Amino acid sequence: MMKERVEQIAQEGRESLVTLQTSQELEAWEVQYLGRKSELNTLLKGLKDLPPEEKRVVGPLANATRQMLWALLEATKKEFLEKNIDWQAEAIDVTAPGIPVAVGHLHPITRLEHEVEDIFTSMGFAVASGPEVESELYNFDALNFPKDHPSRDMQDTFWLKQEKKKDARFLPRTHTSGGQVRYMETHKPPLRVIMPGRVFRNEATDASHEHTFHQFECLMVDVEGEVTVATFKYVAETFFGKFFGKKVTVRLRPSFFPFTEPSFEFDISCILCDGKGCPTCKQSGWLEIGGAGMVNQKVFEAAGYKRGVYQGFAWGFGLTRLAMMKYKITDIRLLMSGDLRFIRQF
Amino acid sequence: MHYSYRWLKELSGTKKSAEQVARLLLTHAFEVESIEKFSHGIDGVVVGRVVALAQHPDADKLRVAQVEVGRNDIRMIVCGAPNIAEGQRVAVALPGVILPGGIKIAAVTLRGIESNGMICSKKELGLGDDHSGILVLPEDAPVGALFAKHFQFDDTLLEVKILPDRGSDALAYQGLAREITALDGRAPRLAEKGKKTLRIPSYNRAPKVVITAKKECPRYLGLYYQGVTVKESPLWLQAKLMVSGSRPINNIVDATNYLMLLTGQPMHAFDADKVQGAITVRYAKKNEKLKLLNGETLKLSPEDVVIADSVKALALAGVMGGLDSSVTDETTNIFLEIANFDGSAVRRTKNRHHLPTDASYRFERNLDPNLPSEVARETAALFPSLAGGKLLGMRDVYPKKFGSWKISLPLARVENVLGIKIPLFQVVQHLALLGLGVKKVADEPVLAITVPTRRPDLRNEWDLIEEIGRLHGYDKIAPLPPVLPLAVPENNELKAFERSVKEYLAHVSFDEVMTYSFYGTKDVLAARLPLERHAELENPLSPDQQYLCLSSVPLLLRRAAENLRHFGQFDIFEWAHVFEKDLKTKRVTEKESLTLMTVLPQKSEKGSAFFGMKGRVDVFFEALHIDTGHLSYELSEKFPAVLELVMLHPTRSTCIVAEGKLIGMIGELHPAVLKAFALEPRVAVAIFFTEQLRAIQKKELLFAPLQKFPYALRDISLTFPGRVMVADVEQLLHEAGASLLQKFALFDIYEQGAEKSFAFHLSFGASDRTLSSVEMDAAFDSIVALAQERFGGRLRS
Repeated sequence: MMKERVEQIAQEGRESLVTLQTSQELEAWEVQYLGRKSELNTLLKGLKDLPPEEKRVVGPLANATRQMLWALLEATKKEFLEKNIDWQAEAIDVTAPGIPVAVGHLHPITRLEHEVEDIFTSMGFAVASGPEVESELYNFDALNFPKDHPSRDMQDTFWLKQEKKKDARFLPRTHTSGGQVRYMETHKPPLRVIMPGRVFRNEATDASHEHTFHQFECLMVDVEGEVTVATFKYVAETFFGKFFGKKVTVRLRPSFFPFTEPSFEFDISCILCDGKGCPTCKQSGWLEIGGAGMVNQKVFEAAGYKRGVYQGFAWGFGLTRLAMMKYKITDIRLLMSGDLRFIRQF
Repeated sequence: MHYSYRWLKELSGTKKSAEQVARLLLTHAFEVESIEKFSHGIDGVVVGRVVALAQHPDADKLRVAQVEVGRNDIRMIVCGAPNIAEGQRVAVALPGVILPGGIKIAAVTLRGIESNGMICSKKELGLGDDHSGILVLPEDAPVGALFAKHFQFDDTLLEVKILPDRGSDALAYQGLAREITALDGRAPRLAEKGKKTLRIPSYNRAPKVVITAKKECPRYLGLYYQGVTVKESPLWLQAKLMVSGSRPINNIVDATNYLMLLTGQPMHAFDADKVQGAITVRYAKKNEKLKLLNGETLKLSPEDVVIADSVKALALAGVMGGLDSSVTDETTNIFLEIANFDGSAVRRTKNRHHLPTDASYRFERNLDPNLPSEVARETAALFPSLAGGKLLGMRDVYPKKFGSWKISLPLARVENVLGIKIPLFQVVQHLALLGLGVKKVADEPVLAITVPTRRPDLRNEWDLIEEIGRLHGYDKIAPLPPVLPLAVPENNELKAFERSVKEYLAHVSFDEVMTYSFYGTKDVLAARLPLERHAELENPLSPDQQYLCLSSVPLLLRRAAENLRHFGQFDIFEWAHVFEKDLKTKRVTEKESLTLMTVLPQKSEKGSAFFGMKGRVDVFFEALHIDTGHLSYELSEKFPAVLELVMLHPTRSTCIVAEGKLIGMIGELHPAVLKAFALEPRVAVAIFFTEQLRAIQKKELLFAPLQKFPYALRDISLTFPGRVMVADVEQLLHEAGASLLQKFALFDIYEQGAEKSFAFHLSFGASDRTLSSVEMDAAFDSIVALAQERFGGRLRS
């Protein structure tokens, strides 16, 4: 008897639920079927008075029915909630712009500097910095630029006014190479370091020349025989390969810098045409990148190292030039212009 | 320097084309910056022979010439030149040719006679100014030959960038040709010329030479020629000079220029009759004057070295000759100087008087003191045919002879440096090709190298390794990964801090701007900064880049004003090095400085620029984990010594101080500064001294247990006399609230008459219990009491 009644309740409950239209009706249904005074609840309360064999059958059945009805109720409630929203009234124009939140931009040189630093630090290079106003000693003398020698003409130099003729002379550094001796004075080989920074040349500005630009110095030193010209080629090719995301070949050409011996100009295979020849590389297949060489023993001596013991390469290249290549910037002056129409593109 | 390919080819014996030579040089020696055809402008001009000449029937001054310009090709040409004669070889421009002056040659009829071309003067060919008659060519000029080709004007110029250390040998045709021969892999051919000594008569007519400036003049060689004729140079010499970019003047000057191009040795010709007594190479006297060849009269410095006779200075050593003793058309006796001057001395003189010349350019690169002997022989070979005259004297003062030197080269080092094994025979070959003496040291893996004096750049093993490397070819060196211990690079904390600051700022609203490190008086004064605290450039590009920036603010204000043309509001920042000169010690100190600048929209309320920036700074501190526990905002009037403050609004600026140290400042701009930069009062800046800022960044972050017992919240509104500031009230809340007041936050400031009210949310609590209302009331009352006691404040009714 009881069993049939429970089954009946289950069926009635299920059937009546589908016919409900409003949330009031749903509430009434809940009271009727699952409320404290509902038949099912009463029935469950009275279970204890049933004979054991009937209890065994009805008990689980009544509980299952209750759970089933609860589940149905929850599902219907959810359905009602969605059914009763006026989606048209809720509608907004989702194609309208978002509420603006200001965001800033890093300068392209900074972006590039970080990128370059990340590649080098991943190869175990430290990052060092130095002063922008450098003494003649570090910028020239210690780098084996003889006094009164034409090699000093290789870099048009700004000079700071001297108070007295005999005072040491200072200058806005013409290259980051001054950092070489500074770094070696406080570090012993083996060493690997890069030194990014702003440098200055006394030359008139136009679309491709700036008196202020950014450079990188890369220095790697160990005892003789460890860091060779072949090592330099490897490090340079690894760096540029990573930087441009493709295989890059390095070409060395003879050059002269007082602080390296041998000295090179180095080119990389054109990143646009992979060395086949295109307008960017003026059909040569190569892009001129910078100067490099094996550290001159005189520079080691200036840093307090013993002559003929250590060996390494030094390498400098223009971050500014790299930025212009990478972002295809056509006018170098934009970099220092502070024009936000430019900065906000990066 | 521009080199004639023809001349290089002639001297080096290379079979390679100009392009191939350029490629060879680029790979193994010097950068070739351009390869261009020499533009002589006389295409189509041919050598002709005047076979017959007749008077023009209708014109007195014209003659009609029959000119043979090729086999069986005789043209009738009307010519007005007075010097035309039968049998002459002449330069003929045929119809269709366009001459350098732009004259287009066509067949014309002159007074009834047909003229099929033009017989040219030097001027018409662009070879000089002479227009007095036609150019008469040597007898052996082949009829019908192209003029430019026969006289070697059809040439290619190689613009070669000779490196500063190779000026002593390669700034000359012989030197570069020697290099090309070596790169071609052929044995040196020039050095082996006959070394016959000059024959000088026993009665030496040359003036005596005395060197007193011994350090500056290691050698002075002079040749005395009697009875020379100053005239025009032969065409072949003119062609050589013109192609190399040197203007022919007269045979004497041309000869010295030619020899300089050939050998690299600058020379100078004195009119010997204008030299009185002995020649002295000495320092200039104080205030001594010298009238130079270029007409300029120099006032000499006692550090300058001059060539003088017994009366006065005649020439500025190694730089330029003097006008009074120079060769003129009337000169018959000459004294030729072939000297060696010290590079540094010449360079100083050149710089002192701003006189860069071909001679100084070479001397300052330290020429070979043994070169004058060779050049004297070349001179003796060249002069008789060129100028006639007799060599009647020579002086050669060369007190300290320079000899070749030896370098011992351990073979292992070659491989150690280059990272490639080069067989011994090749190493030997490379060095020998360059004309170096090479000997293997017995039983040792060492080479003994002898370097001739023309290569002062080769001083040690590494210099030699460079020569071996470049001759061998750097392209043969394969990239090789280094073998190194695994090592974590040393941390650069300031650099890492800089990066995190920049990245944070760019992630919020700030655009990073880079400005120059220089500005001018105008910027300094507009920003009210003291000029005397600025480091100054000795040689600025322009007056507006005369000073090193003491602050980023002035240039950022300029950039802000420019950006306002395109943007209504923005935030920018710059991390820059700035420079300050100490008034007493005059020393320039450099520090890194971070400047934030915010430009608000038009019609912003009073103080909103300041508070806008302060709010940005507060979140910046939080994001960067700046320890704000000991940080306070102080009135800027307390820091009169801080230079940057003069740019800021005196009553809308504050100094950020941590434990007595100035970290930075925030402020709106001084009204006068805004006016000077044409900006409205909606700009605020924050300036940080980055070292100090980084110093208060938290080194480690530590967890604090979450509050277990809920805070009791109450609001308080206190009314004070108007002078009381938020910081004062916060301080008293801090003191009176003691340990129970956990947090407070200002939510309103209300000013009425002379009074000011502040409303705060207060959060009371303890870590070990829920506070009772009695405890809380007591704390609240003590706040009110302290407000009353300290500032005469009261609870706002």
